[in-house]
Amino acid sequence: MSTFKVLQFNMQFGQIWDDADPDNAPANLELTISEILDQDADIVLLQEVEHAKPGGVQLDPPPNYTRLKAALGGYHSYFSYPKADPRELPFGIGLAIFSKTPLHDAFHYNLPSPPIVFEFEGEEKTPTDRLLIGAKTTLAGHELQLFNTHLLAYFMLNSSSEDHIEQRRLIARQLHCLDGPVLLGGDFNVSNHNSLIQQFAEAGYQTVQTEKITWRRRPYVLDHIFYNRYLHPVRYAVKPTMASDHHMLIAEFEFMAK
Amino acid sequence: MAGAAIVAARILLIMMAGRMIRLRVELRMMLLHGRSTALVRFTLLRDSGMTVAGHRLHDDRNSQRIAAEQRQPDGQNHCNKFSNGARHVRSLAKSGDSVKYESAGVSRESSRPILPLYLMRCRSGRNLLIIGLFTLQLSRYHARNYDNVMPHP
Repeated sequence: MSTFKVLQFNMQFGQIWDDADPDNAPANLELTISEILDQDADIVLLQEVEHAKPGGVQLDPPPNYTRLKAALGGYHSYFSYPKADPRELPFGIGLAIFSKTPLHDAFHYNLPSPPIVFEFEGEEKTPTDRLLIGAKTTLAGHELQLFNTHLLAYFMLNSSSEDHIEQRRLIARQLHCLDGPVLLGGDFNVSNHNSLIQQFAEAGYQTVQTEKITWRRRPYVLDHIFYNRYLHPVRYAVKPTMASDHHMLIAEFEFMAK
Repeated sequence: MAGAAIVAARILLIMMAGRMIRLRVELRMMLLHGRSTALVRFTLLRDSGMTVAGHRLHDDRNSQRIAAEQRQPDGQNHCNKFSNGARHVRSLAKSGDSVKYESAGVSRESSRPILPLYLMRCRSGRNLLIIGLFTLQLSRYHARNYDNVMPHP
């Protein structure tokens, strides 16, 4: 294997994109699965796998993940819900890592959200905690550390992750102490991506691309694949899809000689 | 007497040059990954004052889009996930496009820190580099003029 392919995708629990009425568009998980399979990626990092239920109820087994796992037969996988919380809003939750090679040392790590008050459907709410998951795999004889995260969208709460940097700092702390090839993908929900990139650059990580927007609702580059000096990005693509309100970010990497 | 005249002529020439020069140094600095382009312009004005202007080029499409977004009348409220009001929906691409890959911006070589890149990354380093280039340009210009007046034997 000279290169390997990574797919980063916030799948919005399978809800498709409808220009006319995106909030009431139907879910079509078959389209999501088809889009993922089409890429034939070695590693797939997914956010918003499940649709949050009222009252913070988390279905077990998670229905979308179960269907994805069945459809992606050649893959090993790991999934985690965030901490169950009755305040959960009816959007996407849950992170998954799929890999063609076996995963081990999987973990999930809670990322607390600050008590910012915002209004949703006429009621005052505070955000629920977010999540970082990780696992290791071995590709072409190299052990690769994988991370997947979905951070709080502060810009949607009329705030900024630069004013509330704790979640980003917790992730940067995880990255700091690692030696060896590391990939961190996710929906970082940072509208000013330059500050995020600078922060992670200080930890020794670069993102694959910042040119192309990755979200349909607003022109932001929210999705990233960060890599460290043990990896070299060969090429990348942002692939539009109607299977979500996010585009797919695909990148190919090769291992650098130590 | 002749020597004094020559010295006076030199001073006068330099002063004239100071008035006439409209020296422009443009540095298109492809910063990390070549994604952010900055234009730095030095202009030596007629009164010998120097202005420095730095701004992003308009070809940074993402900055343009974000700027356009910030100009929207209701700003953040356009985001419809957390607001039941106005929708701000923009279809940015069509489905079914084949995947068009782009080569990743950082080559193996350029991923290693080199002095000019390092200088461009830090503000003080950038300023030093710019001042250095400016001084070099100015001295070259003056040297050329000097040579015109006092050619070497």
